[in-house]
Amino acid sequence: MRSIATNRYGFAVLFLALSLVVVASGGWSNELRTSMMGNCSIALYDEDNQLNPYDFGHNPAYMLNDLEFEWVRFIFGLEEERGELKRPYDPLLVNNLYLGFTGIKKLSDRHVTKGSFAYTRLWQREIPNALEIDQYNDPFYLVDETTGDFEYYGPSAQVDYSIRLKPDLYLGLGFDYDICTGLKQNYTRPEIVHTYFKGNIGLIYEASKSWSVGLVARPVRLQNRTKFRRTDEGFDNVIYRWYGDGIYDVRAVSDYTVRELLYGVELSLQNFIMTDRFKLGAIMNYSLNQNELRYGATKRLLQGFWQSTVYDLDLLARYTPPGIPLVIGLSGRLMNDDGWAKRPDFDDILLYENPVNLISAGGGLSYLIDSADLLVSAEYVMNMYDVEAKDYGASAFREVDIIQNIGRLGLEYSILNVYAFRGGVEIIDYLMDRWLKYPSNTDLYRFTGGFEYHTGYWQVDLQLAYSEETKKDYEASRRGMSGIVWVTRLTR
Amino acid sequence: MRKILTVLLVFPVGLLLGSCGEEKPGAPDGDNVLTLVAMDTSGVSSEEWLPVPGATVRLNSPTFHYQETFETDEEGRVVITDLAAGDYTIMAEKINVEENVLILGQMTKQLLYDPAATDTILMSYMQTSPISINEVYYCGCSASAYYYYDQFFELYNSSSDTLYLDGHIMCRSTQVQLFDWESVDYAVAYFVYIFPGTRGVTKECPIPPKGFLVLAGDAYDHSLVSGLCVDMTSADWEFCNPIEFDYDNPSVPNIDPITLWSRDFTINISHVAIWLATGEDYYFDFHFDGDNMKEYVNVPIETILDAVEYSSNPDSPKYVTIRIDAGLGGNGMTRYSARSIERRYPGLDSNNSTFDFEIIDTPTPGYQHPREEEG
Repeated sequence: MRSIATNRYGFAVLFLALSLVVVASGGWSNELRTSMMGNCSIALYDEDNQLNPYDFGHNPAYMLNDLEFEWVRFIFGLEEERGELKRPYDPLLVNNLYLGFTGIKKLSDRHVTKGSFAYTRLWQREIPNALEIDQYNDPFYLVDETTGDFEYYGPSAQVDYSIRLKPDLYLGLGFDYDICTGLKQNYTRPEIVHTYFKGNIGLIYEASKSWSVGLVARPVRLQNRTKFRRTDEGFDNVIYRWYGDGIYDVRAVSDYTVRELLYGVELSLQNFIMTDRFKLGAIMNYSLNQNELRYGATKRLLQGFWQSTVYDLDLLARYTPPGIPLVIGLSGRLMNDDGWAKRPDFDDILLYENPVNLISAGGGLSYLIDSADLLVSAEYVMNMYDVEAKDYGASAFREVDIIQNIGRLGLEYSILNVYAFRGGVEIIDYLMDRWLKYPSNTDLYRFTGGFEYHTGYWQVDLQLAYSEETKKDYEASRRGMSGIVWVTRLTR
Repeated sequence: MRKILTVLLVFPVGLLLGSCGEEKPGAPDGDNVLTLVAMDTSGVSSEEWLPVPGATVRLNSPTFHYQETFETDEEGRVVITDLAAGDYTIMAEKINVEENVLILGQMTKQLLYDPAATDTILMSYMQTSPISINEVYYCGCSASAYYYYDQFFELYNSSSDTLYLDGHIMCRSTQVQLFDWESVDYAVAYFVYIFPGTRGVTKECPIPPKGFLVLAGDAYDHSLVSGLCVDMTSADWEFCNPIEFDYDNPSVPNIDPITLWSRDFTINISHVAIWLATGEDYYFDFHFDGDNMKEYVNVPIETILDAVEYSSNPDSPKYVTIRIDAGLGGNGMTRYSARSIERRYPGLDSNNSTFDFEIIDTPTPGYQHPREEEG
């Protein structure tokens, strides 16, 4: 489940999960401090937000160099959001409760490993008609005639391993694995078994003291298997299979299975320049996802095919001028995601086309006011989106060409390196959804606060967050609240 | 440096390997435009073919849910836009309900990407049997009891004479596709029940002109089981299988089995075909059903007066040849919903149950349901 919400690889999924991420961000990642400070990340220095191949490039090979301490962390989080400002098949209320632990251990000077485990209960309430864990991950979807609640339970695990092969060459291996089972509480009572696997294979070559080149390959497999069984009353299940928003068929069945299988691969070439004062990270990503939908109780007939090809260039630079406690950061991104769908029975016919183009530029500053022990971080990101959702089957064509403005402000007040109080605000002007089904020109306001407390080898972090999505001249809104606790024990 | 170059080379190679995605199709869906011209080829009004203005053109797709109705203009033409890629069954009809006259044309067409498709639908007067299966109630009425024993069929005599069904047979198809139905000149029956008497000799089984005949699975008051079930005590005929110790209402005459299965004439509550035949020239034969050789009854097509195939799902495999029913009625019907399928007009038979039948909320044994436009 977590992978659905935070999977960076799947741009489609990223969009889908936008509303969840709003509340959840930082909760299960390694970036709670930055999350507490309004999600500032461009110029905010943090142990888990360094401009290096591990924190910025998610390259497991660099984990050995990224490690400063061994630690074990226990995590508890509760997140909830609710509101009518949503897409048609989104749940009215989402409640996500999770409990887990994570830890990092240095096995020797040459290798280090990190592992995480969490158990999650995701409760999606009052979902109108939707029958999938992720109704918006492609243009194909299933609906029935009822509004109901879905409840998912399941564990997730992450493992990363890094080893130095030669003095200047590192290898990293890792995987993410999730499995959960969800059940809609009322007719048509689909049971969904969701499994997700992502491998993470990385190489780092330190060409010089300040220049590292990295390579990452990430194979992905995601499967959602949905079973409909005869109702207790013996009635048939009536389900509607949609191919875009214009073409559908109706199935009246007792037992029925739908299998959605996504295969993907992400390749990433990374370039990092890391000096004392200047750091630059440049990541070139290429990813390909293919999603197949197979329907049928006995024969699994291929009925839907979705493909997304992404080219993504991500840049981040930081400069620390001499003599003043200031960090200046600049970010940039160029991304092209070419998604399209077809009905495999008609191989030469294009059902859906969904290109997403993003040009992004951002800048930020972090300044430590020594006299007041106050760290201030502020940043601004401008995203220029050009998105088209061409549903040929429905003769429905939507397009937006907009500028999304994101502003973030974070504050941290430290006392004797024992206590730290943090707060932040993040404002996103125009939330983006690749299908262009989210109410247009919706803005997000997210307020965060929390503290950190150290005693001996122990550290406690608490974050509280409140978010609100609003749309001008629109009464409905969507609000979220979350609370996250980390208890960390440093072992070395 | 060599290592860096190696790394830099690996990436494009990997990218190339990763680029094994499928090629994006070039032709957009939903762009088909179909122009149809309905032509009267009967030669009744003129020796030449004439366009048919005001004909109703019905489009249905077994590929997905699509049921639309159009009307031809003064030149017998209709232009249908925004059609998605798929298979279409097309029927043009012009009905005189009072006189039971039907000029009809049917065709199937596959559209992929053709923004300027044109075709001619050839219409003519339909030669249909005066006796047709007018209503089929099959889906059952009580899910909790798995109860479907109130099934019935309704026959209709559209002629102006009393007709007799002596020696005629009612048949139910197999529920597997044994072979290509179009390759033989018979339909394969699993159950066959026969009306008493001898065809053309006795007159024990009359059906009055413009009248209905109700054939019940069991002529029992099924409403005692559930309020939604149908009281069949006033049925005209009852299927009865003495081998099975079947329920037998002594006040309702029986139609007896000629097949030896110890089963009543029950029909599948989701998908099967039934037909009425004259009872001539049928014969027993063995066919392989995928597991075993089984004995069935081959019924020559030319002896079949009317056939109806129904299925909840429009893309189900056919259990009979399209020569006796080109379509599937009852699409979208759910089991145990106590609903029925009946012809749009009594006796209207285009040989395509997809178009001829509509789902009605309440079974109507012995009478025709009121049409919506008629209130």
